[in-house]
Amino acid sequence: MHDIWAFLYQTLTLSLVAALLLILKAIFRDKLTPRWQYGVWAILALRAAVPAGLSGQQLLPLEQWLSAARALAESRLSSAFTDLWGDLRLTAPFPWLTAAPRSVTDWLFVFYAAGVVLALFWFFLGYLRLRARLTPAPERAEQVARVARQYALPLPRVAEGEPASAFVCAPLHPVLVLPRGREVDDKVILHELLHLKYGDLWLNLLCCLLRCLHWCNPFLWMVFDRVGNDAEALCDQRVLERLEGEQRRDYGRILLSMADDRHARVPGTTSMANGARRIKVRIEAIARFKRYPRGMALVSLCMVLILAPACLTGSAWAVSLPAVSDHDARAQLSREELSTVLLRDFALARSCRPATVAGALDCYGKAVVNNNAYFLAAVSDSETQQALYQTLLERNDETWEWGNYYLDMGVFLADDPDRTLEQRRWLSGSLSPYLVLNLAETEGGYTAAMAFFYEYADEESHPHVCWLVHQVALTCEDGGWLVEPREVSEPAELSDLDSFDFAWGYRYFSGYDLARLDFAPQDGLESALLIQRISLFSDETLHAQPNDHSAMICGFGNNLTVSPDLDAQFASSRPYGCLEIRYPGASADADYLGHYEFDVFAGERQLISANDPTSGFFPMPSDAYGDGVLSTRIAVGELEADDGTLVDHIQFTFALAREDPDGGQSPVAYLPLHSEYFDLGEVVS
Amino acid sequence: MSPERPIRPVLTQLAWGYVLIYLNFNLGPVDILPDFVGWFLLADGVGKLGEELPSLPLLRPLALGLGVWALADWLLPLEGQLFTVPLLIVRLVRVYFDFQLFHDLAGLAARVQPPGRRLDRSMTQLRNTQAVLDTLLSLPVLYPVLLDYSAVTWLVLAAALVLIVWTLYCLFALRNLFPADGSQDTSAPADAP
Repeated sequence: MHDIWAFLYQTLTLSLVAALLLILKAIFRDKLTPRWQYGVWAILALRAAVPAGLSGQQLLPLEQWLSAARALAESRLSSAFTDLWGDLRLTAPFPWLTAAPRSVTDWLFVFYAAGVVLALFWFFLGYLRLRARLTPAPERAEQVARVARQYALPLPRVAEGEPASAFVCAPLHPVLVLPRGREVDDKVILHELLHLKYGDLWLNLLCCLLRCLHWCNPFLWMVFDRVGNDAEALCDQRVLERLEGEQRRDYGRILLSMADDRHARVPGTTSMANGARRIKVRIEAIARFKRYPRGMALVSLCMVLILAPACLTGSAWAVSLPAVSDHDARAQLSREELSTVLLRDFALARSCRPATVAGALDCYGKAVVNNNAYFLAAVSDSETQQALYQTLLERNDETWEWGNYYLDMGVFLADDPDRTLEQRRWLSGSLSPYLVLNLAETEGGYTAAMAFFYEYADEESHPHVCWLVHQVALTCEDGGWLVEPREVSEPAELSDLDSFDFAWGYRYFSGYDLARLDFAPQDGLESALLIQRISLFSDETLHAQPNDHSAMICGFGNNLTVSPDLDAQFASSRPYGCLEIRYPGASADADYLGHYEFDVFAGERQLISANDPTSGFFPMPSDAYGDGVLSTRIAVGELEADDGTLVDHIQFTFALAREDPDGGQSPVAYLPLHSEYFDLGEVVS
Repeated sequence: MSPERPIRPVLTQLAWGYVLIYLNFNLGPVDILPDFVGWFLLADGVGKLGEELPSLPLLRPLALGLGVWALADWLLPLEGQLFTVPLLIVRLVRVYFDFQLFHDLAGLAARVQPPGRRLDRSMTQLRNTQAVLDTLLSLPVLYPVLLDYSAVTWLVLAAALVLIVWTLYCLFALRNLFPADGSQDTSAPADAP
């Protein structure tokens, strides 16, 4: 723990588990044995040893609540301990100072850490004082040895001391302390020797350590008292199991006589007397000794097995990304108020880090599509979050929408000094869902290309469609995935909207191919198979039906949910192909027409058969010509069958013609029907 | 059990309580065989069996609590992660309740069953199987197995169905060990085996 918030997280987590255990113990007080009542505290001990939030899950969303509170409190302070933009994570369940304190919260943590040290010192001093007042009592050792022999229990050293009741201490070299000048019944010695046998001294030591670590949490002090009481109750049970008839009643009378005895609560000791009220409860338990339902060992174990995972790891608490409030409401906020809102919401967004690669890409893609700062914050490192925060803080005026922060940051559109602010505003159109291309695992994580189509209307309300690609890198940090845009392409506008079809949109993303297989040119026509790997969230979202370009429903990305699916998984990640035809001898003044047919095979099996839907010649789009080369890409579809078999050859033909001034067509070049064979194994692996 | 308070109807009440709990018949969003009625029948039944099985009334508050929870869920579905902790408590109470009830009923069966009949053993095995299955289904580590392998899911569903049938069989079989006129003397040591 390195700041006060981490301590609060740890102590509240422990308190929550303790409260749950107390509720269960109350429900099963007279139903489950003292062994269960005491043994179940092992869950608390394990929970105390594990830093809160380590599993990434929790019984209640304490991390989210504390993150928001931290953001609100620390926004006005300059803490040396707290990273306002970092996650609320613990690496150890004890305090550790990392720098000189600066802020109020820093000093609070220093005060807490000092309290831990003082509490440890106080307990240690108490123990030393107790030990200093003990005197060896070899003359009483014979009685202790007799009891130990009778019940086959360990034999400690024997001493005398001031406290009115017997106790054991010193876990490493145990000592049984008897009250000076008072006779002690054998059953009392039996009780203390049973503490020794079952390691209760170590438990007491652990409780003292936890008291020190959580010295300012009175609830946990009460809980640790309860642990000690349950240890005594279990020890009573163990004593009664070894006694018969009248001896049990004697034991109850002995306990009653101890009601007014003071007991020493120091580390590494146990004491039979633990207060009048507890004595009364223990005597009632003795009276109930034979009435606990017997044969319940299996269910006791089952209940612990059900309880332990929930207490130790919690459950995945789905927290929704905060909603971006409406512009009018935001515009009314003062800068300070807006800062508070942003810090709180960014803290919540940070606690929603996607747990999967697909979830991170979905979050990033929808951040771009929806211009949502919080979606972006959920997958960004602290530096980017701070930049986002500053941008939103600076630009919250009536003329600037939340969404345009993205344009301003240059992530969406490459920074173009020739574009005026006004032009950029006009470009605030709508984005279609995104496509994930060429997801590949790297040494540090993953890389991918995220492709977007972008529609907008210009000043004359003419529609335009562009596409652009974000090259991103993904890294994993504390169990959550971050997405960093490495390169953003300039939007490339489509010239022919009539032939645009989302279904085959991937053919537009030239330059972002996984591989290119060039075929031998014929009659001046160059051909190649371009391969991209497309990762889909649902196999329903992209079809490659023969001659059915309208079969696709939405084609891209994750249209299944409006908000990011932080636990999303890819349904498939398969190679898709485009047939590229190039004619270097084209003229800029001519209008060209094309015709194609192709069949795709995996071995003997024909997977796809398609031809130009017009069944004749289709006009080549105006942007097909550039730098003296006419180029067109024909979407082929999936290059992998459902059983995983890869396509190994394509049979195709292509004819290029030129449109004559009189409306006729003149042939220009021709690729006769032929097959090209290839091996995609290495390409797509 | 005294002739004035025959045991057979109480066992019938327990059996029908479980029928209501296990079987759901929905008309739209409403379950017309509500679980809470089943739990209140069980609460009443275990109270009435106190004379016969002294530790059984310890279950009455648990049954009442489960009934209240079921009633609340029937009125307004208690969904969402805010109920994670209460649902955990309910699950633990349920596991304990079923276990102890069948533990004690097995003891009763052992006292009254005719020679050669092993209804007590069947109830003990049912008790253990139910507890183990409930525990396994609660372990988070097994969730991916259940989600990824539909065969495992079907196996679990089949096991649950078998347990339901087995439970109802044992309860009605125990009831049938008692004559309808309540004449059987079931006095015996109160401790369960």
